[in-house]
Amino acid sequence: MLEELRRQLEIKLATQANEEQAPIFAGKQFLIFKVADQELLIAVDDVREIVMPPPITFVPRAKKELEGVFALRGEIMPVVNLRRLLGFSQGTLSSTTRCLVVSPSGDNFAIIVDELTEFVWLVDDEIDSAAQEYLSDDFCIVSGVAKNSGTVRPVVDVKLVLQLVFERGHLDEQVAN
Amino acid sequence: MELSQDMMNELKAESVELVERFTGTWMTINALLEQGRTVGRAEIDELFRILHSLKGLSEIAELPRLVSALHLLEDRLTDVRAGKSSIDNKDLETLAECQLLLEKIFVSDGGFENDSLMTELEYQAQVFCVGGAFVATPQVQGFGSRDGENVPQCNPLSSDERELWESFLTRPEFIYSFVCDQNNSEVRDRINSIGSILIDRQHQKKSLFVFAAELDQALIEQIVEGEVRLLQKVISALASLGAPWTGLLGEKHESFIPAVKEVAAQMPAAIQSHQPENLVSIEETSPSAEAAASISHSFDVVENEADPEMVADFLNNADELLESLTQAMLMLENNPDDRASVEEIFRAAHTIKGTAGMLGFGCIEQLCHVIENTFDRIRKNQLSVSAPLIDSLLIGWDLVRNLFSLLRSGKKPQIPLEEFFQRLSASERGEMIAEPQIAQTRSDSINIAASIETSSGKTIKTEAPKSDSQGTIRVDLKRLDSLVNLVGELVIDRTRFARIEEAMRLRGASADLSHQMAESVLLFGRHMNEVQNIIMKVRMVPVGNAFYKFSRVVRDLSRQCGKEVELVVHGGETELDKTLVEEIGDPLVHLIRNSIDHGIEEPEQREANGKTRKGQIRLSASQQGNLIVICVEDDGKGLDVERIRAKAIRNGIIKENENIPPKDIFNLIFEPGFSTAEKVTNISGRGVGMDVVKKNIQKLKGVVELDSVQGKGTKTTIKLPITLAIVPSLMVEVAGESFAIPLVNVIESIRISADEIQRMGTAQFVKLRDQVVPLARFSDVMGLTNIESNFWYRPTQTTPALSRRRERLVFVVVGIGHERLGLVVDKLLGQQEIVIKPLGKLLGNHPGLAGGCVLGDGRVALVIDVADVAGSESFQRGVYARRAPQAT
Repeated sequence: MLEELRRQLEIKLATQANEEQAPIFAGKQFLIFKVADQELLIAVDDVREIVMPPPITFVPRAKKELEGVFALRGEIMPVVNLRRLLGFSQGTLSSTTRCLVVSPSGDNFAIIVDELTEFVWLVDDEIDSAAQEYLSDDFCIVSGVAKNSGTVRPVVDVKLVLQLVFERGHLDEQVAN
Repeated sequence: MELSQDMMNELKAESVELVERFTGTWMTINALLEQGRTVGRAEIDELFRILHSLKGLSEIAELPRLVSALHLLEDRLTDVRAGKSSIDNKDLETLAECQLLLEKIFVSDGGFENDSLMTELEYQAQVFCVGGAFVATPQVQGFGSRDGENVPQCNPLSSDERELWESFLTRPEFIYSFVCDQNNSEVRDRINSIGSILIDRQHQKKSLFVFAAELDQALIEQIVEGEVRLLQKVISALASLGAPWTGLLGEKHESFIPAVKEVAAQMPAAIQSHQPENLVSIEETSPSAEAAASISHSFDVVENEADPEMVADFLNNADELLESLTQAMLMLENNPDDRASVEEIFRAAHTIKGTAGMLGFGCIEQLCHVIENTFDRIRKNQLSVSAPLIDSLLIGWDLVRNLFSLLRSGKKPQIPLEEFFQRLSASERGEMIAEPQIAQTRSDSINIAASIETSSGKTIKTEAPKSDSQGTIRVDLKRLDSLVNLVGELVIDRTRFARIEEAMRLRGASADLSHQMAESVLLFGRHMNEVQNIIMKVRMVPVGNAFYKFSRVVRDLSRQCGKEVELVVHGGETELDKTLVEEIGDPLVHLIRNSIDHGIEEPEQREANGKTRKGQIRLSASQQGNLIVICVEDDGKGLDVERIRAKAIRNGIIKENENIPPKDIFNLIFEPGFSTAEKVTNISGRGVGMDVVKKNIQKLKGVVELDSVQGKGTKTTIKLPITLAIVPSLMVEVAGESFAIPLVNVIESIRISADEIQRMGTAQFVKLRDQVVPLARFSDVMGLTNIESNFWYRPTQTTPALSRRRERLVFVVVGIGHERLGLVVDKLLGQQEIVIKPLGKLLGNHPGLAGGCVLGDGRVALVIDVADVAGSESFQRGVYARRAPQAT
């Protein structure tokens, strides 16, 4: 919980810093998280909230990318399983698991990730457009590639996540295939 | 309209209330008149106040037509107040019409913009204003009076005038506008001269034409832009109009004139023969019979070459119109009192007629005209809708369709119509003969007392049902909903506090502190309950609000059917969620209509059967635990079990050898399409709309059941949850997950030993007392079988999986209507009140799930949609294809 609070504070401070420094620092803040061993980036502006994963309820015959639902202050929140979405192996609940609550175009949902690593400031030059043609279908949720460090890390666009989940069929069909 | 949406909504809400008060006052006056008493000053004053407020609102809303109509009503009431005149039964009828119209205008969406409603209201207001005796002089000039046939007492026209006049009669309105568009002073003069003839003769129909002539040109151009453009393309259309329009054509169209003359010579002959009742005297003969006589020489009138583009346009439009027409006809057949359908048919027929006439397809025009006339009579209640009439009319539309296809294949659209006209007039006459009889019954059976009894037995008259409107505040329903949601949250918080308090006690916090904590949690809980109750009560309104209008329905319908029916209302004060009260009206109307139409017998027959002359319909509401039970009960002839069974077998709904208890047989009439397949009783369509009733009730998470004793009556019971916001549910556990089943669908939950399951192939059943209930595993039905592989981030199970061999199975019997299904679950967790919440857009409309609810520990439980589950294919699979449960 303390860790969580600290993170929240960090985000808050970072946002304030963002507001103050905006004219000087023409960049964007990103949150780096891990799914399986893959490090991914997500724009902090897209993240409404970071929560410890509450008990998730399984929804039978939902889309396979959806892990289930949980309640966040009375609101029922679908949870997208990013491991499934990106085609990784099964993951389990651990002490570092977090849920990122996002609301692209007003549709609230949560993304379950294995670990949060750090916050970074990136300027536009440090992000390349994603080479979509080299990526597998699952990675079409990626809108760009961050090249600031030694490893290139994909930047996830929540709108694309939403789109992908909508497009995918139901679990039953998937199983049948 | 420049008004903001908010303001419109506000006005609307207020006016709806006023209209309700209007209805209440009307009922009081009606009751007074029925008892032979005079209407008191108090009632008139109340009525006046209501109308005045409505007028004020309409003024704010910038609805000038409504204002003037209401003003007319007010005028008359001022006279009544001054003692210059009094209200009689006829006025009451008119007021009832006005009330209906006002309700339509204010209550329905877009009612303000609905022209035909306005016109109708204006007409009724005029009738009311001039008093019971209809006076031909309209009170307001330039008022779009209804262009109907109500034209008594006009001075005979000279032959010249008549010719001029008649050339107007069958013409569609936009032609006149077209003429105005020409900006031809001569034309204007002509219109004006005709207008002055009309004014001279004080003809009811004048207003429209004079109106057209007086309007300023720019305005007309705006109104009729589309039609005008169309018309300008085709001079020939104008030529076919006859005098005086041919005059507009000028020299270069002289070639048309001979043909036109011919038309002009023939048209009046045709019109004269079926219009005289409009103009000179009213005869009670069937107009279509006369039309038939005149038709032989008026069909093949013009053979002008219409623009093929226009014809194609016409055909396309007409096809659409015919489609909606047929729809409306069928609706009308199912629902003979559907005024909206009649209006729609009337309008469509009129449009087809107008365009066909313009293009010179005399045959189509003629046919449509006759049909339109018939509908006009239906509209004015001079003719009631009967099966033979509808049949003939449908044949008529088939003829029109044939004509269209002839036209399409390039042939001349002409077929002999005499046979049809004869048929139509015959079926009309059939009604005519029946009418005096009804009229007679009417005169002695108007006394349908609508007494509203409270359950304690006291009789309260319907006096001013909503007069105590002081001290109330109107709140946006959305705010109320969010309040309800918040309270739901607090309820969850309370459970959490209780858990924390328990944890504190167990971990050995100081006794004093934990004691204080326990106390405050208790208090908090108590206050929460109170808040919850009050919030729920805020949404409650007495169900009687929906009942009031039924006395009107009963009154009108019983008159129409020539029956004597009394409506007794019980328990109108029972409270129900506002949305439910609004939604329950429609299904109840269907049920009551059925009871009157088919349940209650004719007075004579009732006497012969040893019953009272007057039939009784009991409408009652009561609360049973968390459910509201609404009953519609009649003491009519009841349902014929054998007949329904026979029909169901023929329709393939049940098998011949199936042994179904009578109660379930009755419920078969709720099956979709059952009623239309064949007639259950001798009168048409028992079970009309029953499918609709069932659907509506199911939508409200309720159930409907039917019981009947032949010769004694029929009883329909509707069970509804008190509120949609909080749903009492049975919580069950399956595969480690909790699910909620709305209690309204739960019949019982039973524990049986595994060897009590009967098997037929893969299907499983259990014999429960006298019923055979199909059994399915809940996890199969819901698709919980592969939960382990699909659910990765599963919270660690606190309860160990039920690995031991279970001796006994627990199953919940759920029911939808007469269907019963057993769902095998792992565990019953007890009853809980839940707030259903949507699962979010990402999950979409999920089959089998009504939504989710947040439990006390903050977890989400899914809520089962029983209707969906029972009807779903996977359930069928669950019953018939899945293997036996492992436990057996």
